[in-house]
Amino acid sequence: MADVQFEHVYKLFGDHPVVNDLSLDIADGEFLVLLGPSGCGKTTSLRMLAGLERPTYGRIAIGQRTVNALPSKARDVAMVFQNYALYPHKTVRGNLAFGMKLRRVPKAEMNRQLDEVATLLGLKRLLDSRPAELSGGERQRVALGRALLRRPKVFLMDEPLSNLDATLRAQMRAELIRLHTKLNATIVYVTHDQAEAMTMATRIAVMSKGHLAQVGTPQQIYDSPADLFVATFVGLPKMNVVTGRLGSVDNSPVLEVLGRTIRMDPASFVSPNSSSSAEVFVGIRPEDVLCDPGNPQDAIYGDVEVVEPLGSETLVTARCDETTTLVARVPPRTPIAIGDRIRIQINTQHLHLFDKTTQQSLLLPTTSGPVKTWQPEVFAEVRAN
Amino acid sequence: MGSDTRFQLGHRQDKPRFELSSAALLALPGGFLFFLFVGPIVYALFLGFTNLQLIGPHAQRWWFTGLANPTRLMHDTVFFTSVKLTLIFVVGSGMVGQTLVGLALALLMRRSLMPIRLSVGVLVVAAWVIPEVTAAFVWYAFSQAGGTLGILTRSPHTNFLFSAPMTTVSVANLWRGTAFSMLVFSAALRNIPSEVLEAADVEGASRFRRLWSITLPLLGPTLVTNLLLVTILNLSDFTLIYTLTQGGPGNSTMTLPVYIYQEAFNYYELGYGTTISLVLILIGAALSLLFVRTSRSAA
Repeated sequence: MADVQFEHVYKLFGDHPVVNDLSLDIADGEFLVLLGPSGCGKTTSLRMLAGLERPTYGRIAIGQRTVNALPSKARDVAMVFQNYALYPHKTVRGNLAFGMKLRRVPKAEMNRQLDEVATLLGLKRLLDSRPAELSGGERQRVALGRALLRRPKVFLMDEPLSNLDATLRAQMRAELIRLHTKLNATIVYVTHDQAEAMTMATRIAVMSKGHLAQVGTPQQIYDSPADLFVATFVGLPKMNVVTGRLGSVDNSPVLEVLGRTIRMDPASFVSPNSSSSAEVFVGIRPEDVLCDPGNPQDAIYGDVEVVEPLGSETLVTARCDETTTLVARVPPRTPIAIGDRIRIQINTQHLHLFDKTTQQSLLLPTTSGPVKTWQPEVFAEVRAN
Repeated sequence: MGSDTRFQLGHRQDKPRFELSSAALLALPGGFLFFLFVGPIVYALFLGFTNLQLIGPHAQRWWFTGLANPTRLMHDTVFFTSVKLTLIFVVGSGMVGQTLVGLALALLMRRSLMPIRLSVGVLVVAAWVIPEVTAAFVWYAFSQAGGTLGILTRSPHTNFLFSAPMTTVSVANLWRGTAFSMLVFSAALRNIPSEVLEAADVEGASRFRRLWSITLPLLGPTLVTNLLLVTILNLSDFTLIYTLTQGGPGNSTMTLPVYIYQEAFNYYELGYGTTISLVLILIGAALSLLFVRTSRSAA
């Protein structure tokens, strides 16, 4: 087991930076998920850590040892590839044993370890099959088994679940969490699936266009996204983003959004960079959009365009004006149909503010903790008269 | 599972159908195939047991001679030399030489820079696409006394077609035919997913170990196909050897195709030439069968 450092790491393909000044400390035993859309540089970062790509600039260290020039085989890492990369001509047993043969593990010890991992992953009856005869989930388990038998300092996983169907993916997610707890291993896991990131990670590193956008625990990332990209990328359905204005009433700051005026604690946010315009982006999570509230006075009216019942909840998309639609997460069996005019209320205690040009979050980190956490007292509502 | 469940819902609609009209349509190409392909082979089989000549007493009046030709073959020392030379040529120059050099080039080119890969590819393929007679002439000039080969080896008075005829012919054929194996292996190497090799790399395999334990086993089926095709191509190769040496000096490069030509068209022994060609077919069939068998058991 070991910790991992990226220090100002760049990777250029030609002149195009794919990874742009990545600095990241991964602690020993951490399950760190690199999350981002395709092309954000997350897989390239992982491949640099694996030794399959060389960083253009910067330093990568595993267990405090600089590995930039170290070949892959000397890094003591194990990698699970997206399409598993099993050796097609070898049986499951051969696939599992190959690495141990390379390391000249004695035969008896090899069989013991192989048996242990095969039992753990439920591969015992498949040991003599070839990869072509296995299902996607089975192949995935073989790839995982191969990595486990390596007993590496760091596990690297490149979207290992992306080729599995939804049920199997959920099952393997639980399996990976269990394995991580059991082995207490350092895992660097790449995915574009925020559900995987949220469920498995001890910390998430969100990447966008080669940059590291934010690092934090899943809850921190969800509750206090550092910028508009993170805010809209994490969370499903996506965060609603509407335009608002910062102004002042009686010398105290207020936010005007969706026809309402909300008083704000001046210590809770910074003014936007572009002082010429007071316009900001306001982010509202769908669970903070409440349909059919008790008090019609606070309400925004919306016409229902889409209703998506998911069983445990229902998603409602409503148009509030020509430019604004809001997605709300409502309890199941809420009697709302397409075409209905509904009253919407916003939970003003959980709003997010972003600078319109830099798209950075305008909310200040609270002093109570090292990371930004949301304080419900930040917003106090001002009734529009 | 549910195999003992019988569905009785009437006539199956997904049975393979037989239609008389299509059978009639297929009879025409079937007939062509029979007369143009099966017919000549059967006729050749028959001719191999006759005393037919191209010019001579048996050119007009020829007949079935039973085992006369096979008996003659059994006592023909040139024939046995010829079989031996053919096997040396096919195995040495083709199956080992062209295959190994082609494989090596394909492996090296995969890792090389674009300009090198392109120029090597063009050169090797050029040797393959130039007419065989031209290739033969190039090698004829190259290996003559005073030729480039003599100058390079500091023996300018040596005619390599006389001092080492079989070796020279084999190397010329290797030079000419390597492109085929190279192209076959290059295509196969492109089909090996890079992740599989990367996985082996991360697992700690050296470059040689990756080649030995991953790349080569994955090339197995391609190797068999390549060997099969190279055998077929080289077994019947005539132009290069005939243009270079006409089977000589003596009979030292008299492979079966050259010997067949000599018997049938120089000595006008069409019947006996056909007998030898039947042996060539048998050798080809035996080798092919061997490869097909190997590829089946490997798969």
